[in-house]
Amino acid sequence: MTTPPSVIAWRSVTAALTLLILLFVFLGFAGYGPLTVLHQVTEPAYHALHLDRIGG
Amino acid sequence: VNGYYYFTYPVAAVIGCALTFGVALFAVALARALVVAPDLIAPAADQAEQAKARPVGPGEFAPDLCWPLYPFRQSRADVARAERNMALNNAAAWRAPVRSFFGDAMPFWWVVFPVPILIIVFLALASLASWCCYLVYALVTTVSAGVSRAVLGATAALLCAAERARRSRVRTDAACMRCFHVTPWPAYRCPACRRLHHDVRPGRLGVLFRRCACGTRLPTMASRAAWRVTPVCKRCKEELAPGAGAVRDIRVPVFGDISAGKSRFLYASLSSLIASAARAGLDVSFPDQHSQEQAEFGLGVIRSRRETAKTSPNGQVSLTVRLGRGRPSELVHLFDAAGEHFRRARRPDALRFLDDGQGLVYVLDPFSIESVRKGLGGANAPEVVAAHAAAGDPELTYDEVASRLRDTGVPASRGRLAVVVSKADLLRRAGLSLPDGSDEIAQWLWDHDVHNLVMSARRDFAEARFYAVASQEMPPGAPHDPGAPLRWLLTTHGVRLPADSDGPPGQPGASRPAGWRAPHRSGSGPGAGDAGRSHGRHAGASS
Repeated sequence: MTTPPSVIAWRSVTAALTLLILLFVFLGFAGYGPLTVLHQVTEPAYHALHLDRIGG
Repeated sequence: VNGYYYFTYPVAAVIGCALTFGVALFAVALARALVVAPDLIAPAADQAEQAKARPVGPGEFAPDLCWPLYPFRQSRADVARAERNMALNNAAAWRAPVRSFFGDAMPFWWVVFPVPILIIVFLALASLASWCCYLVYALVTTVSAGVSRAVLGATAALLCAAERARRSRVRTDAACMRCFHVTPWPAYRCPACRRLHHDVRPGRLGVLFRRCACGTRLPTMASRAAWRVTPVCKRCKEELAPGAGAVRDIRVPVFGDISAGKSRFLYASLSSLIASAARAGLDVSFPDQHSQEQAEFGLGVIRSRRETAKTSPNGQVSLTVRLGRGRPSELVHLFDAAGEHFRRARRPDALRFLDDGQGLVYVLDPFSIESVRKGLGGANAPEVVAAHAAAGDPELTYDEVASRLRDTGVPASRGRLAVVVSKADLLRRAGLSLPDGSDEIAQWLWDHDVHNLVMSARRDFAEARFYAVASQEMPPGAPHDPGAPLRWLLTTHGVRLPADSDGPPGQPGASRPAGWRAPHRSGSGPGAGDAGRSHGRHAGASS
C-alpha cells in the first residue's frame, strides 16, 4: 500500500525538527564549555599521575 | 603543562564516539520506523479501530475508508514503532558484550580488566544518548501532533458549523427520485475506486480534503464534494443530480383522485414554470435522462393540446428540474402517482414521497363534485363525460393523504398546501365559471358542499391556498395559469422566481370581487381555518 504524500510530509517535518534540536544539543555539548568542565573534573587525576609533566 | 590533554582528549574522543554510536542507533531505528519498515495505519485498520471504539448502530454507516490525518493516528504508530526499533537496536548492541562478559567467556575478559568496564561504560553512554534522541523525537512528534489536532479539530468544527448553518438556511437536503429517501447529505462516490463516502464532513479524515483508501484526493463538505464527485443515494445507491446536497432542494408532491388531472397539471405547471424562469433569466434544465424524457413527453402533450394518458398504477412520475446553473442553482422535484394509490394512501407503499414534500398540491376535479355534476345534468352529461371526470369523492382522497401524513408523524402543520381546482377551462366551456382569488375559490368549494376539505386544508397545514387552473398551457400570470400554485410553493421556499403580481385574476391576492363574503369565524365558512384548527378531528375524516 502506497504511503500517502501527507504522511511522508508529516514524517519529514517531525524528523527534521528532531534533527534540528539534536544538532543544537550536540553542537553545544561538543563545544568549549563541556571540555572545560571535563578538564576541571579530571585535573586531580592527571596531576596525581604526573601526566601534566609529560611532554611539558 | 599540556600533559593533561593526553588524558582529556582520549576520554573526550571515547565519549564522542559513544555519543555518535548512540545517535547512529537512534538514526537506524528512526529510518526503519519511518522509511524502511514503517507501521502504516491503513484505512481498513483505522476503520476497524473506529468501529470498535464506537460500534456502528442500526441505520448508521461504518466510518469511511480514508487515510486518517497523520496527527490523529499515524503519529502514534510511528512513535511506537520507533520505540520498538530503539529497544531492538540497543538489545542488539548489548547482546555480544553481555554474552562475552557474563557468559562462558567471562573469565578471559575479566583478566583483561578494565576493558569490559570500559566497553560497558561506552555502551551505556551510547544507549543513554540513543534514548535521549528518541525522547526528543517522541516529544517533537507528540507535541506537534497535539497542537495540530487542536488546530485541525477547531477548524473542522468551524467548517462543520458553517456547513450546518448553510444547510439549514438553504435547505440542501438531497432527495432520491428512485426510493424517495431524503437525507441531509448524500453519499459521494470516489471517481477512481467507486467506493462510497457517507460522511464527508471535515474531521479526522480530512479538513479541506480527504484521501480515499485508493489514494484519490476528494474534497470534504457536501457543498464542495457535490460538484466534484458523483452524489449517490445512501439507501438505494442511485446516482443523484450533480450538486445534490449542496443546492436548495424542493420537493412538491401532487396528489388527487383518479382522473383529477394531476399529470396534466404537473406538465402544464412545468411549462409555465419554464416560461417564468425564462422571464427571470434563469436556465431550466433536467439533470438526468429520465427527467429529460418525461418532461419532453409531457410538455409535448401539453403544447400540442393532446389528451394526457392515464398514469399507470405501476409507474410513477417523478422528475427533477434544475433552475439556474452551477452552484447557485436549485433542484425542484415534482412527484405524481396514479390516483389509485391515493385511495389507499395509508399503506407504506410507493407514496413515500408524500412524507418529505415541502409543499403539497392537491388536485381536485370540479366535475367530481356532486352539486356541479347535478347542475350539468348528472354523471352522464356530455360535458362531464368529455372532461373525463374523476369518479370518487374529492374529500376522501384528501382525507386519506392527510391521515397518512398524520400517521407517519409528518408535521404537515409546518407545510403548505395548494388546493388546485383543475379543468377550469372545461368548466367554463360547460357554462360554469370559477371565481378568482384563493378565498373566493374556497368559498365556491364551500358553497358546493366541499366545506370539509376547505376546513381541513386550512387546519392541517400552516398555509393553504386555493387555485383554479386550466387544463391547457397558459402564459405565466394569465387567468387560471397552472404555474401559479407551483410558483407560490417554490417562492415561499426561497426559489428566485418573479413573484405573481396582485393583478392577474384567478390568483391569490387578486382583488376581491364585489359581493365577496367575508369568512365566517364561527367555523361555518371557508375562512374558519383558525377556529377549525382547535378541533380535534375534521369532519369527514376517516380516522
